[in-house]
Amino acid sequence: MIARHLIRLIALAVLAYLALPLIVILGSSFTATPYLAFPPQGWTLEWYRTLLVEAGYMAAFTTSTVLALAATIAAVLLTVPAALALARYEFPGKAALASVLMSPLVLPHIVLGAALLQYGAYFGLTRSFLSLLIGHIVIIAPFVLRSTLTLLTPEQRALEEASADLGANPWTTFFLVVLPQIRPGIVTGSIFAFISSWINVELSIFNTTADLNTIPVKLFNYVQYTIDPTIAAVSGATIVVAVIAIVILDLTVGLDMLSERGK
Amino acid sequence: MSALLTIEDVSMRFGAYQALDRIDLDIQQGEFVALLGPSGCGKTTLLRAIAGFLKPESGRILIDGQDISRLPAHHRPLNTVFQNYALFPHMTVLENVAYGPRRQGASKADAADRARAALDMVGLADFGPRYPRKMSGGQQQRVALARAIVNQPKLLLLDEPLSALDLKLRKRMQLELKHLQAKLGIAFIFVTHDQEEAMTMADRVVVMHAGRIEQVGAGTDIYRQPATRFVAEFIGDANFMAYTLATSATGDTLQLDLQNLRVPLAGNNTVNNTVKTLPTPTRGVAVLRPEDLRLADGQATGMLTGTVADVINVGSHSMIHVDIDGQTVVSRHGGIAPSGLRPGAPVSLTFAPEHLHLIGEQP
Amino acid sequence: MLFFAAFFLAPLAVVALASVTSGEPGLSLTTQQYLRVLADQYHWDVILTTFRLAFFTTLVCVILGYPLAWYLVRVVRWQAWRRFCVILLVVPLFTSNIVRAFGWMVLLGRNGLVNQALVGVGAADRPVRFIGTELGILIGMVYVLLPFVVLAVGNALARVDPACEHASADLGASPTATFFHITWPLTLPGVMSGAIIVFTLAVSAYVTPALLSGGRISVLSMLIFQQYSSVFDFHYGGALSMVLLVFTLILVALANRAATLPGAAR
Repeated sequence: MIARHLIRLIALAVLAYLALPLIVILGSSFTATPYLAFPPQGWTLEWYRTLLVEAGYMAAFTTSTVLALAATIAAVLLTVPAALALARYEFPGKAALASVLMSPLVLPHIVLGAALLQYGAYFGLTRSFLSLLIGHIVIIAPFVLRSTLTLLTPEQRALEEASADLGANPWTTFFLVVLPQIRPGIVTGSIFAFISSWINVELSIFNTTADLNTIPVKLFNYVQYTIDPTIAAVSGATIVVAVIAIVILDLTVGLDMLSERGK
Repeated sequence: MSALLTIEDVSMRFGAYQALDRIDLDIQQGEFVALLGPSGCGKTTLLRAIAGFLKPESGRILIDGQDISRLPAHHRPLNTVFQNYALFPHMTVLENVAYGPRRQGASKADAADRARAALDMVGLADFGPRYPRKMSGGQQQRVALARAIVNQPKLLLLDEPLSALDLKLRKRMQLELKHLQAKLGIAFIFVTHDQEEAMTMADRVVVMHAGRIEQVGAGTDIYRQPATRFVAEFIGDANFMAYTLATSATGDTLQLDLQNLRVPLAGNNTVNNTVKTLPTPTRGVAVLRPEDLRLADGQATGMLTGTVADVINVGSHSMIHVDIDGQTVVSRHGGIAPSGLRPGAPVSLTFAPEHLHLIGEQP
Repeated sequence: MLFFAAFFLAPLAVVALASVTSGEPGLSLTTQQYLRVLADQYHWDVILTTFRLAFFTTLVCVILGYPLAWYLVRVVRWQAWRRFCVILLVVPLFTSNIVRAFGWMVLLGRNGLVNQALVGVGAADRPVRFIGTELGILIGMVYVLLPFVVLAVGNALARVDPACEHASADLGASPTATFFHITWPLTLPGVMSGAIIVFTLAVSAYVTPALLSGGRISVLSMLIFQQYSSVFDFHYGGALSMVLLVFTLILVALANRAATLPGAAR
């Protein structure tokens, strides 16, 4: 019994720990003082207005979003066939290949960024949207791959065979049978992929410039010089983006993933 | 002799669903009892309540006269064999079996010795160092058994332990379990939905339905004298014939709805062979087992006449479905059915009146 | 379909491979660079700091994460509350490292909430310095990596066969004994794999240590970035990168092994 209460206590404390920074950021973004204060003194939306007004921020916001979208779409187009191939065929080195494709999830992004910078220099492919894009695709593709692969089960395969048996050609089977089934995986993977691209720093700092900037990198540069409520506002905006992404995820796939009854 | 296990007026609900409804049951020392019934009847719920994994809302459970209703599972002097064996995958077979003694204070060496003895008893003497996942279903089942008996519990609960095995292995295990139980002298409560299994192994069968006990008794007694329509249908096959009782000075007769056949009321048509005996109701249902409904030699000695609807030859016996004025009855015939019997052919059936067993329910 | 897949697979593989092999320039220029890495005391300190921080981050993550996972999987009864908690767990994951580190910069600063509380309660006479200490970095990194452990442990816990725990109780083990002998060992592979992932990410962390170090502490990835952004010694940077990369790959291989231990609840 004591153990249960102790666990509850620790759990609630940890949950508070998780919530604290977000609350502080959101709260201090509304302060009327020119310096960061929490609890906020006075309420104002001035700092959020700065976001909309200053060209730099809006540009960075656009870049981040467009980049993330493009990277996600590209990742989906590349990894879905890869997932299908991995699920279907047996070939030597398959396990190794799968590991390689998933590796960007845990490899240091700093190293990847540095490597891409050096490698790209040979092709003149540095500090451009394209170089950013390639890097992002590499690191977010595993998300889509992972969540799509888990849905390509033998049962799913059986449905494909049934479709073929009933006379459908491979393309029809793909669009009418396979796609609807792996859609939840693609959606989940895409959401994780999009967000991962949107919030990425370590990879992006190698290829951004004053003109071509993403929100996280812009924040990173700013934060090293001053700390003021504007940063809090920008951060607050990103928190809102995160919450939206989660809500979409919950609505489409459901977040009850830690339930014992689940699986 | 006082009972080993007494279940007194135990009830349980899950939300709106009544899983157990006022269950009363006594189990004696060294008995082999089967809890038999279709899925959802409450047999597994009852077993888990006895084991201590579920808590009934009302009623008591006593072992050797002591109320264990409040006792948590790990303090109860009984052990369970689970349906999917629940062997600990991260331990060897020996460690699995030695687990119980170890948790109860035995030294490592002592526990290992006892474990080896238990494994020997189930025929797995050399399997100690193996891991469960590398063993067949039948072997895993024996490990689960060894693990449960090593603690020498007074009572062993088995939750459909043979259901995952294929037919031949299952039949073999049924006999092995029966012999093991006799050798150990531990009381077994065995849950199953297979009536043949229950009849093969148990001294007494408890038939359950919708959270209630329908009937308790030796397998053969229940077969010959089912208390309710449900029991008659669940155990073996049954022909149901509605009857009306006609009393007269010369003796009582039963008039069957079927072709208005009149049959004398024989002495042993008992209605209910459990505690209470009721007077024969005036209107009710009679049960006739297919093997008691025979093909007549000729029209003259036949009691019922009808047309053959189906003939099913299984080899060792045949089932002949006969349509009598719209109702279908089944007759069981040893060996292959006579060749003259085809769908549509006329046929006569006969039976001995004392094989009619009356059930006090509305037809 | 096969050709289709191969065609798409190739570019991705090429890019991935390229990003790995392009660390090579440091290699081709003799092993001189690596000797530099090994010989310099300062670099040993940095590497040591990096690993020390990663180790403690992992430790704290597991110590805090296991109870939280247990709470979410075993204790919480209302689906709505559990869902809310999972959202709370995942929202930080979806915000940028910068934002998270920034939050702690604010909280742990001289006039931040933490110091306000400490001084207010009387636990300290003057504001305690967190920024620029390893403790500060630790707090920040745990914050970032904790959800990974919680999710890994949560998954492992959810997959433990409840029948095994019932069997344990049935055989006479108290709830505590059941935990030590059955539940913990069965969740261990999940915990290990989560811990290794956290350690790997902690070793290569850049943003969090960079922002919370206050210029006083360096970790390996900061050093690497320096080579590219200010020192422009790409070869040396390459060598350092390879060191980090190789170590990461070893850890990943270990993590894969951990997931296939006997008895792992899969």
